[in-house]
Parts: sequence; structure tokens; C-alpha cells
Amino acid sequence: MSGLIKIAVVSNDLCSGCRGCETWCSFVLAKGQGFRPEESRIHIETDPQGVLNIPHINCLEECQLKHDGDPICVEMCPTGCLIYTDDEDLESKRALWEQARQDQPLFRLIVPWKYPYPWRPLKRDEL
Amino acid sequence: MTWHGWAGRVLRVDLATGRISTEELSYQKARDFIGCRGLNVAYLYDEVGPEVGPFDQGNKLIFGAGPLEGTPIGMGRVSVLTKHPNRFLGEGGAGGHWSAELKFAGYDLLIVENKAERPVWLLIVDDKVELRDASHLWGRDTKEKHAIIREETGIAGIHVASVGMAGENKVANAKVQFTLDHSGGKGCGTIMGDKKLAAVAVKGSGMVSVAHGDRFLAAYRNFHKTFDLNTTRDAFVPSWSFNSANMLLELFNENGWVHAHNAQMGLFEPMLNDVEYMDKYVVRPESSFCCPLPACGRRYEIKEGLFAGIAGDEREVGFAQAAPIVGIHSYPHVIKFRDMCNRAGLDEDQAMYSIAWAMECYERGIINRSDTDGMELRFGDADAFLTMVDKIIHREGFGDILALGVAEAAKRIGKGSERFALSIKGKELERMPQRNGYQMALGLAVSEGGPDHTRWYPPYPPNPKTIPEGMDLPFDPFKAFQTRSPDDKGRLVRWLYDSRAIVESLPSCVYMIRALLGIDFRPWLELFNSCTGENGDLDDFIRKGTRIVNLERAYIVREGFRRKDDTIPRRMLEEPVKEHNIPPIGDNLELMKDDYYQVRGWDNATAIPKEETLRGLGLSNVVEDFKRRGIWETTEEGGHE
Amino acid sequence: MNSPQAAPIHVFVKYVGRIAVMTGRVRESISLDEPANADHLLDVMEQRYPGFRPVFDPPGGVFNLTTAIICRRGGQPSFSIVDPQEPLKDGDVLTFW
Repeated sequence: MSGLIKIAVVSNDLCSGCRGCETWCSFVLAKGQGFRPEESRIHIETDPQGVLNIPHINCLEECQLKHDGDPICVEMCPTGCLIYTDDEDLESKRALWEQARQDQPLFRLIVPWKYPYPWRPLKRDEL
Repeated sequence: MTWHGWAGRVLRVDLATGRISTEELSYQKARDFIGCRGLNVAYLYDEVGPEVGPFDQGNKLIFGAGPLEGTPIGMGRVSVLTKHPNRFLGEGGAGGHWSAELKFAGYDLLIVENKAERPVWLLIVDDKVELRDASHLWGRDTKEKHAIIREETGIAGIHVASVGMAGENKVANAKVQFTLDHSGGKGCGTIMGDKKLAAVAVKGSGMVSVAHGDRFLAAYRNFHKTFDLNTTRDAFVPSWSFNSANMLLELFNENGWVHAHNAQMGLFEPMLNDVEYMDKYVVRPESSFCCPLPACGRRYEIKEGLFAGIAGDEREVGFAQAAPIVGIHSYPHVIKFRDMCNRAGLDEDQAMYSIAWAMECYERGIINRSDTDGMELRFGDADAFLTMVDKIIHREGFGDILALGVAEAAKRIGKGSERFALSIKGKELERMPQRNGYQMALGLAVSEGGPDHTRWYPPYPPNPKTIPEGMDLPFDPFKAFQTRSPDDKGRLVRWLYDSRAIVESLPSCVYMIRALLGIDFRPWLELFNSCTGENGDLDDFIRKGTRIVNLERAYIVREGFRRKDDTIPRRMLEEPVKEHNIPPIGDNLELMKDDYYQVRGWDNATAIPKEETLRGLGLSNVVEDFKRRGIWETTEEGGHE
Repeated sequence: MNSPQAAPIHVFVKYVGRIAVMTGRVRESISLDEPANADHLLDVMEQRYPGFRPVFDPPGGVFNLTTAIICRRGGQPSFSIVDPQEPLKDGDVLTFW
């Protein structure tokens, strides 16, 4: 590990647009009084055609709600699209994910390091 | 009063006069019926009586969010309700983000009244609510409507509920279509089209208040663990997280649950394969508001071939199960079918079962080319299937008959074709097994909303080996797994109905009822209490679910539905699943109904709730209403179908 | 296992959902020496796909608690295998999920 630790996006392709990060961030900013995604330090931009979700992060890295060291937006991200790490680790994880999703279509939907079961490349010729 | 969870406001829109008003939510109703599905029926019962016909001015269309909508428990679930063209509860839930936006805009319920003279659409941005001319939207498909509204408002994050051509043309069971291809409310799209309401677009920027933030967070983390891939104790979670209901394709096939060739066969090979679907068509996850599953919802694209360019979002096996029902083996065709239904707001079950019925009638010689506009209509003909779907949407030729729904179409055709129309209370089935799953047969038969599995889904308790000792269950978990025995199914189905009514009223998604969350409602109670600031106990919480189902029953009783209407298609009662040697249900259905009405406190002969049952649930307004109308004095058996 | 009396039986196996992710394929035919049971089949699986067995039969845990094996045999109603000693027969169709 080296460099600044921060919240980053592995790939926009992994964002499901669920807005869990937005919603939980707003809960922290509102000091637990409610949910208001409009007031959040993350926003998911949705393409008008519904083709892409793009997380925009404007975080001050002062999250008051951490779990196992992760801020709550990362804790609640279901696909692993959001990650809390440094640049070097981020690059190696991106490479890992890129290879995994070529081999096994499941990893279009989640990052391999969050997937706890054994897996093998798909034998496409047998489908 | 200060509201937590609930926004505390109801928005009313009168399409005839253009009047838009807000009123305070009734606290008594909110306390008794929670929200969403429960609150909707509480308002519909009071405001749309049996003297109002489905297509009268007085029928209403209600969109309900609930107290936990807008929190991460809500999952964007909305319940849409109206009096269905067949007079039962036209109700359906849908996911996405629309309902969360309604809460952020500050409303629990939207009640649409009367009819517009010309097509209109409704824009809700917080307190700014306006009806706009929709002449440029009418006749467009739902995706075009969404795109135009986004462009016109300039709000990228706006979410839209709209009606497609099926609703505009009043096809019997048309649905309301939400952004990201969520849809719900069989018949609601039909009534929305009749009211000439093209769309409701909503964007909110307010807060959903939580009474006890720390408690809510702790309760949520506890809930969230159920879906943790590392620790889950539920067999469905790992597969459902990525394949959603598509994982059921092979399971249904292997268990004899598929309705191949209009349920003439229980095995369909080769079955469409969920892995092939994932590899060729799935491109990325696309989820409802705060869904904790990585990819129960997915975006698909057809990249090459005849249907190249078709893309959309799905999380449901519905489209793939069309394949066995009409006998086709091609993913591109079933995806095209899905896309046509999404764009038209057409109920895919109406389409697949009515066309399958027509195919069976054609192969049996009951109908011929002179009925079908010259078309050969045989199982396995994917192109003929899609052509007929298009004819239903546009009510052309034979499609105009099928647009009435399969039960009504069979009445028109006659000649014994009624026997092959797979419907309940006049509404087509929705792919759920019956002969090898007696609790599902009973659940479908007694539904107040036509065949609707979400009212009792999932149909099993968790694996009995995972149930803690000493847990006091209202049914026997081992008998629950004896799926071809009528034993104890009354108590089981009552529990499924009451508990799911709670989850759909909070609301949350019934797919979240996993592991112990299906039988232990303390976690749900803690989420509800910590969010709203209520402090009722578990018995009181469960009673809310019982109350909701009883009010729903009272509603259809008042419309004339009786025990005789609580049934399933003759095919399931009289014919075996030959490929798996599973016998027909026969008399077992009536045995289970006896059991169910008894544990419900409903009259056995009529299925009308007894006075003491209603009083015990605090439904004294229903008691007075029933007395005034002489409902307990009627002894007729009913008979709507 | 390979006694002189043993005759092979053939079972057809389908993999659904995450199990297909584990195997990288969706179906195959497997030969087993008779008499065969579910436990023997899991042995073959573990050899082909290391890590397979513990998912169905976790050490110290409960067999098929978060998984299931459906058996379809000779046109009879399908059943779930809840005991690893469950005998298997030639022609069985086994669906793992």
C-alpha cells in the first residue's frame, strides 16, 4: 500500500445504480435523522437512455460511520464497484477484475474478490 | 403531528377538473394498515364501493409508497391499486426508484380520481405538481414516453410511471410501466389508459425522517447480513444474487413445475439455459433503490442477429418462462417478447397464456385459420407468437379477442375451449406450479388480486434444520415441505399471506424474505418501530398483516366474490403431470380451502369473514358496511368467472 | 471401488446458478461404479472441481443446508437428496443448485 487512501470506483460498468452509497452517505450527513440522497457526497449520474450509471464522488474522507475500516458507502455497495484503497492497489484490482470478467460472465456483476465461492472460467464451447 | 417514516401527506389529483390537492394522511389508517399495499386498500375500500364500475368516473387509481420507502429497506417498491376490470383488486407491486422519489417529494400516496377528457400527464417535483397536456405522448411506447419527459423536464434523475399502447387500448390486464422496465398492477394500466393519464413523473429532494437513527442502522445491518454471500443461511441467496429468478428455469423443469404447451406438459427440453443467457446477453447490474443484492436486476442487450439492438433491464424469469408455455427455444425471441411487453405495458402472462390457449385450441381443431386471421397457430412457432403479441397490443383481428383476457376470449369462442383457458378469477395464471406444490395451489386460489404469487412468496419456510429450537411457529415447518399433501396448508398459507402483506406494506421486496426473515418478524418490527417511532409489539405487528388481508377479502366479498371463485383451472384439478407422474389435485383443493377459511375465521360456505373476525381486527367500519348492505344475509355462492 | 463385479452406471448432471460458475459448464454425463450413492458422486465432483464438496457438504456442517440436489428418476416425481448415502441409479438426472 502506498499513497493516499480514498474512495474510488473500480469501473462504472459495475455500478448497479442502486444509490445505496448516496442514500447511506446522506444518513451520515444528516447525523442519523433520516435519508436524503439529494444531500450526499456521492451522486449517481444516470444516462438518459438508462445505459450507464456513473458515480461522482465528492468526499472529504471524514466519514463518521466506518465498518472494518470502510466508510459506509463502500460497506453498502453490493457489487464492489466502490472501493476504499490507494492508487496502486486500485490499479492491480482493476486488472484482476478485467481478466476475471473475460473468463467468467458472472464478474460483469461483481468484483471477484467479493465473491466467496470457488469459480472456473466458462467453457463457452459447451453451452 | 410529527411524522417519522411516513411523509404524512396524500396527494390527490382530479383529472376531470384538474384540481390538485394535498391532505394529511390519516394516522389511524397509517397505524392500522402501515402503508403502500395496506394503505392503498384502506383508501380504496372507503372511496370506491361496489356501485362504481371499473370504467366509471368514480374508479380510482392509487399509487402507494410506505413508511420505510425512501430508506434502504424500501427498495423503491410501489403498490398500484384500482378496481380491476373483473372487479377484484387490480393490485401490483413494482420496484425501481419511482416510489422512493415520491417519498422524497413528500407524499405517501397519490390518488388519481375521475377521467381526463384529453390525454394528460402529471409532473411532481416536490411541492410543484402540475397536469400537462400529453397529446405528444399518447400513442408512444413507454420508453419513448420516459425519454420525452426527461428531455422536456431536463431532469436526468426523474422517474416515470407510464401507460403503453396496451393500456391506451384498454387491453384487459395492462400494467403500469416504470422506469428501468419495472412494471406492476395488472389492470391498473387499463384503468390508467381509460382515465387518459399517460404518465406520472416524479422527482423529490426532501428527507425521509427516521425516529431512532442508531437503532435503525443496527437493525439494517442485522437485516443486511442475511444477504452476505459469506455467511448466508439461505440456499437461494447465492444464485439469486446474480441470476435472479432465471435460476428457476431448470428447477421448475426438473420438478415438473413448468407449464409447457399451455401446461399440457411438465417437462420442456432443451430448457433455455440461465448461463447462456448470462454469457450472451447480460452486460451489467442494474438495481432497484438500495437493493442489497449485487445483481438481482441486470441490463441485457442483444448484440447481433435479427433482434440486434434490443436492450433493457430485467430481474424476472417471466419472459424466459414464456418459452415452454408457447413452446419456443430461442432467447432472442423471448427477449423480443419481453421488450414488446415493456414498451406496450402489456401483461406478459395475459399474452403468453392467451396465445398458448389459442395454440392448443388450434391444434385441437376448435379454432382454425378463419378465426386467426389466416395464421397457423401452433406451439413452437416463435414468429407466429410474436405476431399475435403485436395483434393483442393493437387489438387487431384475432388479437382483439385475446386482448379481452383468456377467460373472456374462451367464452366468446365457446365450443369447449373454456376448459383450456388457464385463469383464476378471470385473470391468466402467472407461471406458478400447483399440482406439485399444494400450498401454491391454495395460495393462488384464495388470492384477492387474481393469481399473484407475490402475496405468499416465497412459498416455503426456511430449511427446518435452521429454525432455532423453541421458536413458536403458526404452522408445522416439516409439513410445509410435503408439497403433495393437503395437511396443514391452511395455517401455512395464512401465515404466508399475513406476513407478506406486512412486507409489501412497509414496503420491502418479497425477494428479501430469506432465511429466518420469512418466519421471524422481530427484525422487520424493529426496522418499522425504529424508523417510525411506533412502539407496538410483535402480536400487534402481525395483526396488521391479518387486518390488511381481511380488508382485501372484504373488498372482493362486497364486489360479489364468494368461495366458488376461489379456485384454480380445471387442468390442475383433473389432469396429471404425465412426465413426472404427478396426480391432479382433485378434491384436495376444497379440503385445503375448508382448512384455510377455518383458520381465518371466515364462513366456510361463502368465504365471507365473520363478524367477530372483523371486530377482533378493529374493522368495525366493515361490519357496519356489511350490515347496511345485507352481505351476511346473502347465501348465494357467487360466480364471477 | 473397482471390484470385478462393478458395472458402470451413467447419470446426467445439470448445474444451475452459482454451481455452474463453480464448474464452468452447465451439464455433463458422469459414469459411476455400481453401487453408487450421492457421496460417491461428490467424490468425483471434488476431483474434477476442487472446492465442490465443501459447498454441499461443509466439514462439521449440515449436508445440503444452503444447496440442493434434485433427482429425477424414471418419470417419477422428483425428490431432493437429503442424505449423502442416497443410492443413485442408472439414468438419474441430477440437478445441482
